[in-house]
Amino acid sequence: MTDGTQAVVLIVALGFATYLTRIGGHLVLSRFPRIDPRLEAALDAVPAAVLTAIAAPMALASGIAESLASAAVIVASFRLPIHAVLVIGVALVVALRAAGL
Amino acid sequence: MTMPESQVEAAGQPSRFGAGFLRGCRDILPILISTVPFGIIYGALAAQTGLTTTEAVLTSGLTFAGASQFVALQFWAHPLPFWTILLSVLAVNLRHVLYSAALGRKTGHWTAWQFCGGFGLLTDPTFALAELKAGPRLDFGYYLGLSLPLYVNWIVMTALGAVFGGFIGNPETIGLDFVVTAYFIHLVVSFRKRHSAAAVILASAAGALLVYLTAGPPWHIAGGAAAGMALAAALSKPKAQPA
Repeated sequence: MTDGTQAVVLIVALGFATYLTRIGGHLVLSRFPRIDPRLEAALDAVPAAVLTAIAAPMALASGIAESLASAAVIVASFRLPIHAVLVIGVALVVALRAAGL
Repeated sequence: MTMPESQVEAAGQPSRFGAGFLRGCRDILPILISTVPFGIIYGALAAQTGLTTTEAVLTSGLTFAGASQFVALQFWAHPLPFWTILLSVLAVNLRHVLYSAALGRKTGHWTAWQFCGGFGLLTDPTFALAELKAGPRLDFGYYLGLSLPLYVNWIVMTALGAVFGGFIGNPETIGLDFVVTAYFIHLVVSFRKRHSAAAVILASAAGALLVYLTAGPPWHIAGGAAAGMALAAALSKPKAQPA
C-alpha cells in the first residue's frame, strides 16, 4: 500500500470505530438491565485516563518551557474557560522558548 | 407510529420538525461558535503533520470527534503506526458508549434510520444539551438541530484550517504544537468532578510516565490508561448497597 492509501484506510477505520462507539452503547449496553458498577466506573474513567496518559509525557518530558507552561495551564483550567486557558498556555510557551528554556 | 400521542402530534408534523430543528440550532449556537477555532487549528495542524486537505476533511467528516482527532495527529508518522492510532482514538471515544446507552432511553420512538443517522452525530455537547433540555422523549428534529450545524461547521473549519495551515512556517515558533497539550490538560481538569477523578488522573500520569521512560512510546498510553481504569474499578462502589 502507498502512504496515501494507507492513510485513507486508517481514516476510514477511525471513522468506523468511532461510529461503533456511538451506536454500540444503545445497541449493546441497553440489552443488559444492569451494568456492573466496576465496568461502568472503568468505562467512565477511560477518557480522563487516556488523555492523562497521552498528555503526561508531553507536559513533563518535553522540556522546561513545556513543563512550566503545563503547570500554568493546570492552575488556569480550574478557573478560566478553555479559550483563555489556551491563549495563556501558548503565549507562555512561546515566551519561555524565546527566553531559551 | 402506534403511540396515540404521536398521532396527535403528527397533525403538525412538518412544522413541528422545523420548529424543533430551529430550537436545536438556537441552543447549540454558543457552542458552535466556540468550536470554530478548534476546527481551524485541527485543519492547520493536520496540514502541518502531512495530511492532505482531502484527508483532513475526510477525517473530520467520518470521525467528528475533536479530541480523538488531535490524538491521531499526535501519533501520525511514517510509517503509520496503524494500531497505536486506531486503539488510542477508540479509547478516547469510548465515552460515546455511555452517552449512547443513556440517550437510547429517550429515543425509542425514532425510526431505525433516524437512530443510525442521528446517533452517528453524537458528541459531548449534543449529549449534554439533549440530556438537559429534552424530557423523557427526545425530539428528532431538535436533536438534528443540535448536531447538524456542529457537524457542518466542523468540516468547513477543518477545510479552512487545512488550506491556510499550509502557509504557516514552523508551528513551534507560534506555539501551535502546545495547543494540543494545553487542550488535553484542560479536558483532564474538566473531568475532576467524576467519581475518584483525582486518584484516577494521578494513577494514569504515574503509570504513563513510568512506561514512557522504560518501555517507551506508544506503550505509555495503554499503561497509563490501564492504571487509571483499574483504580477506578477498584474504587467503585456497588450502587444497590446502602453506603
